[in-house]
Amino acid sequence: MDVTEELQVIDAVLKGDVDRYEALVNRYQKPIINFIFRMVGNYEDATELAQDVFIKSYVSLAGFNRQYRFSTWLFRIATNRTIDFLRKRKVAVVSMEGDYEDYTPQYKSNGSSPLETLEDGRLKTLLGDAIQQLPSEYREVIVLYHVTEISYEEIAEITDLPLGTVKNRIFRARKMLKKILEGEI
Amino acid sequence: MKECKGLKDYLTDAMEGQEKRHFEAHLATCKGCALAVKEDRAITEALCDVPKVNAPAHFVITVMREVAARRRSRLAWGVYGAAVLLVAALVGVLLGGNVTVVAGQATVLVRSLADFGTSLYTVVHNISAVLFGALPMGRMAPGFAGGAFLALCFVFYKTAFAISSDRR
Repeated sequence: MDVTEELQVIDAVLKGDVDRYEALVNRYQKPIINFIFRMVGNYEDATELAQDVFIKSYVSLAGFNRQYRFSTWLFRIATNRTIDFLRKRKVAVVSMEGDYEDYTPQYKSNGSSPLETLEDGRLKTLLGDAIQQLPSEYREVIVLYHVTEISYEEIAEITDLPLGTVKNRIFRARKMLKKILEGEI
Repeated sequence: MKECKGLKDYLTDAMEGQEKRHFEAHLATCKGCALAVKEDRAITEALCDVPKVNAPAHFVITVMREVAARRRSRLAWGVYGAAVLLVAALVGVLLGGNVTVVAGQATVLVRSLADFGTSLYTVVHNISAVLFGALPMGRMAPGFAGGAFLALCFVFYKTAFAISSDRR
């Protein structure tokens, strides 16, 4: 479904053809659930929040700004809803701006080097756990860029951050992940 | 270890053309940068392959059911809103020709509704006159209007209830 088709679906939904909304849910359910899952670290919470996101999107559809892509708008709702959830869950979020070099990973090494785990495929799973240890502002951009494969420019629109800040955070987040996985890949 | 200038730009695709070729030449001579690039690429590749989860089997159905319920709820509120407007209009009908006296101190909104009611009353009266000949409405007008009002309220209530209670 391209951007034009998405706009046609949105118009139809706004005119009362609610069933057409299903096409948008089908198209974005997986990326939204994966984004939220990597942010909150719990599948049940992720699916529940994703449902909220799609319902909120439907309810607010009349306010959709056509200068953005629908995906940008949807992910903006998802990031706001997820951050709100994380705040309510009182997850300790420590700002890592400027001091990531001193970041102490919570990840316990099993003795093998990350390169070895990469070779046996375990690094991908370990990396999933390591993402959970990132501060939320870094986790948000790294998941959007690498897991849901959204461009730097779109992430900047979703998060309302300057492009340079987005790139800087992604760069720093990867360095943090390397440190968490005890480096030396 | 201190990073060389340009490493971050190179790794975040912020470098192009000659600047990029220049940095790539630098990588051949700087072991620190070469290692940093290698490590970053390994992390990047692994990140792209982080296991993905699937949506639950009934995710779309659940969302669409809730969306449909929201729509019905909106429609019900629309019906309630229309009912309120109708009640206001019928109040105007009941007040009939005494609008000016009764609503003397009323707000502009009430006056508008009352005027609307009066117009409606006139229309109903004229139609009634055509349909029933020279039926003398006179004192019976409030009775007719009241009966119509209660009947319409009942219809709106049943409709709104039927729509809003259709949630599963």
